[in-house]
Amino acid sequence: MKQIFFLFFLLWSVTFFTQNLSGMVVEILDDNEVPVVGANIYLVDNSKGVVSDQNGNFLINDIKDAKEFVVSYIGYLNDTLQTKNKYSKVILKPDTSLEAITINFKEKSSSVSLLSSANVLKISSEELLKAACCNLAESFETTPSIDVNFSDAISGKKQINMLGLASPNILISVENIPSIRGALNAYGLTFIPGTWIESIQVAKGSGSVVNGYESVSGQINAELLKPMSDKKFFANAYYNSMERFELNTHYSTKFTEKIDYGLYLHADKKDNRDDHNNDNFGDTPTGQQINILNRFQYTNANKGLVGFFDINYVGDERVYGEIDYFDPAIIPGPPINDSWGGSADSNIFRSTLKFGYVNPDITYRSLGLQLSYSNVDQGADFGNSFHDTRHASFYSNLVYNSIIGDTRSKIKTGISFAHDNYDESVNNLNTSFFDLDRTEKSIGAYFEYNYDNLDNLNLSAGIRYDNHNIIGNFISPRLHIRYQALPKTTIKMSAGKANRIANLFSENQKLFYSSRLISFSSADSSSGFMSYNYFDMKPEVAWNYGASIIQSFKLFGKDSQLIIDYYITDFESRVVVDWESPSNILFYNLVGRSYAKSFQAQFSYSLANSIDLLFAYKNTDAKTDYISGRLQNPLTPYDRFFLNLSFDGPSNEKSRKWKFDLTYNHLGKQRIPSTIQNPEIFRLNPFSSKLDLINSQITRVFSDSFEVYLGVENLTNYKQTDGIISNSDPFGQYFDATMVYGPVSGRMSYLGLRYKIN
Amino acid sequence: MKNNNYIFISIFLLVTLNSFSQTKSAKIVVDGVCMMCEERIEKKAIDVKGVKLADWNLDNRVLKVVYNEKNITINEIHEFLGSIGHDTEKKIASDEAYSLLDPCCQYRDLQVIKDHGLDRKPIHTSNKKEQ
Repeated sequence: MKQIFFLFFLLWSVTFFTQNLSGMVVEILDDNEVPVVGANIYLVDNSKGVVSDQNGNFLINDIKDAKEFVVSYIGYLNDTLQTKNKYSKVILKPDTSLEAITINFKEKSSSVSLLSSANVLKISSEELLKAACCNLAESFETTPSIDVNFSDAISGKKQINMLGLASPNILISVENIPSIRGALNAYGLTFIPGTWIESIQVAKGSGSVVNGYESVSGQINAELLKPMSDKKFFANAYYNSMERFELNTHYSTKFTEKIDYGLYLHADKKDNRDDHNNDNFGDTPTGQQINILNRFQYTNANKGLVGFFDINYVGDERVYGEIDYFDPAIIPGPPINDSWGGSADSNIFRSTLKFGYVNPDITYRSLGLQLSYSNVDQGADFGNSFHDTRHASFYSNLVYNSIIGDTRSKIKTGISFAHDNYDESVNNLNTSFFDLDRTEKSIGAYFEYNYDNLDNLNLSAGIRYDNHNIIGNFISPRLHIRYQALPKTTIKMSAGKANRIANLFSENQKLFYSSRLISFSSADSSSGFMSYNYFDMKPEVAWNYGASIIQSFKLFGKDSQLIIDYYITDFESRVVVDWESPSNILFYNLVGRSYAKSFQAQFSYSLANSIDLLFAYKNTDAKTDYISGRLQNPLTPYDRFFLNLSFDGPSNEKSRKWKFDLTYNHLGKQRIPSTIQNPEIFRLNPFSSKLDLINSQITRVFSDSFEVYLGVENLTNYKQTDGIISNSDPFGQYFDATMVYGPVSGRMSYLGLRYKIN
Repeated sequence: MKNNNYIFISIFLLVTLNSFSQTKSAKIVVDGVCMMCEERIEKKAIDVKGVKLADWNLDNRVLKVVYNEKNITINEIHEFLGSIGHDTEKKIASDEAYSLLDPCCQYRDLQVIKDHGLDRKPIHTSNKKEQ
């Protein structure tokens, strides 16, 4: 009896004393309970509240008569609990239906970073949608920093230039692994479908030492879609007036808590050969491509481990030439020898493994490993010539990130290793043959120091030391500085040195679309008796210096930005590709100077919340000392005007909206390699005419999951008709389809649709 | 070539193995309402001797710090944050330090919190009343 009284007393006294509420907030990660720091815990009745501490614990003194309390944390579902348990363990569940936070100011789809010390332009997937770009080469149509030029009159390829220099001078990487190199210089850019690209970073000037010694005029990095953050399903179909059909599908799924998988497919096909400029040659090749990428993404946030494993296969076939040329492999029977043509077949296998460890507590310490293997097998024939390449490449890079003192001083250091094996053979017009089997290997160590005072100064200084079996031992220094002189004025400067071995035939494959004879020689006429070969060509060495100023201001109350930059690339050593004599193509080591000076002024303006205007002027002074004297680099416009107007309309409640985009390009005159030695009917003007090109696209967004786009390229229907010299006699000595400065195929319209399931 | 490889690897290891010493990490709940608060908290904290990393998140008010135990203790970091006017889960800033904050950073003021579009309460609601 006494005991019962005692018990009653105890119960009563407990309620009499002030009541405290304590507990612990946790979430479940990898089957473990992890404390949640900073969750809000408040009482429903009197809204007294606390926050959980670093062990997830909380304590509310004197809860009075509150019956319920709420635990809330951003990104998690609120949980309402009773106060009757004095100690509660609260397990928070992630709010998967979390609506995206609406940001009221519009982010530009391409923007120059104000904070990074390098002059980096970021192109988002939004920008990539402005033109229905089919692949990486065509992704830059709306980016004035990069020129998209016409390569030749046969292959339909586009060639990209930066700071007045062609793409082999740009280090092109996919997720920071140098990718478009060696044999891929011929077709590599067309093997990265546009829809697979999440974003592109374009760095003008010398890049970071982390990615290697090769970037002469800049660095382009393409980030691909990541299975973890990608939509469940995406499909894109495209069809154009040249009867080219494309299909892209993406599929992603979660295998386990830690492993996501993505399957990316691209296929394109074009069967008919069309000739819009009436030169008896197909304007773009027929053929097809199948491109398959498997991505496995591993994420273990608790342990700070991330990884990617990719397997990619590309099978590509292009047939080009005269209208009545058919590839003997496709149409059996005796070869039709009286028509000029050929095919380029590529088979590419590529696999990469990336692994990163970030210390979960000390996030500035991380270690990353990149391993990549690729095998490119490409066989191409052109009339009586052929060019076969097998390029097997292995690359690895180990990078360690840390700090000195505190996070204002960061360091990156690591070692990289590259091994390239080439089996290359060339038959030039059944006259000369080259057997170019070779191996290149290099190992290098680098160190990059980055200082950021978190205010107005940011600098990055890097140095790398490499040992290369052909170049030898060499040092590549790089320096980038950003200084915010005034709140709206930012100045950037950079300097750096690059080394590179040119892959002469892959980089200049268009030389085979002519009757030119290949020869290696010397720029110095006194050594005229010596004979030269491919392996006498020296590695290229170049310095790049640049400065840019970014000024932001309000104009008529709207945000606008002016960017002016100037870059100089100066070659210490270069293999000169000399087109100046129409009967041959000469390769020789530079004697004298070769440089490219590039000026660009760019003005961007938000006319209204949904209308953006971008205007740019570019001037390129790129000259090389040829045997015949110092000349402007051929087929490089002296100046260029660029105008882009984009409208991204407001969406209604069903997220329907219109998007519109217009791009105007004016290309100044371009120097055409000398044809003076040809008979008069086969001569071209020494300079091209000026060109005005207009592209436009309109997109109708029907819902969050479906949109249709319609566009036109080369609206004014410009056609270069003299793109092929001696087109009626392609086996004759004057045939040349390399002198292309504008579109050969006239206006092209296209229609496409995109469908996605989130 | 062989020798070169050893040089590369030893340089790399030397840099990598730089003092994995008394480095500790902690999460502190620090009150604040805006980007100005973020800048103040992060910039002032990183200036403190011994603090190696300071990263504050406006959404959940958690300051991630990495510090060297030899130079500073976690309590001293709480004290420091209080001295620059920011409440932590353990330390309430003096009214004097708090009053020096910019009007837009007055995170104890419910109206200021609302003006920043935030739906939450100051971490030390009750204390204000009791003082």
